[in-house]
Amino acid sequence: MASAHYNLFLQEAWKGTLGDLTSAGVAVKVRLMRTSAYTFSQAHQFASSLPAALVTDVTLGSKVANGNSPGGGSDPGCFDAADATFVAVPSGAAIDCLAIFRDTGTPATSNLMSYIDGFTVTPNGGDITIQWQASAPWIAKL
Amino acid sequence: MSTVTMINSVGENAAGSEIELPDEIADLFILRGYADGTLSRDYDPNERAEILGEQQVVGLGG
Repeated sequence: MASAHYNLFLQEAWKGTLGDLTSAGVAVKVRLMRTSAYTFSQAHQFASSLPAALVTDVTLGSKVANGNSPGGGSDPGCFDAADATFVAVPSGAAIDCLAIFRDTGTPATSNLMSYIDGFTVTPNGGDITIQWQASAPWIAKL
Repeated sequence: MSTVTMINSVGENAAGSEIELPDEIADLFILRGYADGTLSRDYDPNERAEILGEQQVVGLGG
C-alpha cells in the first residue's frame, strides 16, 4: 500500500464542507498505527474506522497550505505543519503507518484525510517525532 | 509553572501555541527541542543526557 488520500476526504474537500483545515480553530490530528492492525480502505471516511490510539494523538500546529511550515512556502496545494512528537510511546511491535484526520471530538464524524506508510520505527518507550518531508509534497498535496 | 512556545506539536499541544506547563515538563520540552522558553534551573550534562536519551526520529520522504 502506498500513501494516499482518502477519496471521501477529497470528495468533501471539493464540496467545501470541511472548512479551512489550516485554521488554528480546526483540529487536525495524527495517529500512529501498525499495518498489522489497520488496512487502508477507500471505503473508510471517519476516524471510527481506525484502530485505538497507541498513544495520545498529536494535534498539528503551524499548518499551511503551501508547504514549508511554519512560514509557508511556494508549493501551493501542499499541506504542511510542524513536526509531530508522540510522548512516551509504549514499547512494542514496529509502528509503520499513520493517519491524518480532522478531529471533531467524535470519531464517527472525524474525517480521515490522508494515510502515510513507507516507514518503520520500533518504539522503545521514549518519544517518537515524525519529521515531515522537507520538500513537496511536504505532508500531502491535493 | 513556566510558559513556553511550542516548536513541535506534542500531544495536544499544537506547534505555534504558547502554553503554561509545570516547570519539569516545560524544561523537558525545551531541552528536547520541542519548545522555546527559559529553563527553570540549570541542568548538568548527565541530567541533559538522561533527558535526551530515549528519543526516536522518523524522517519521511526525501
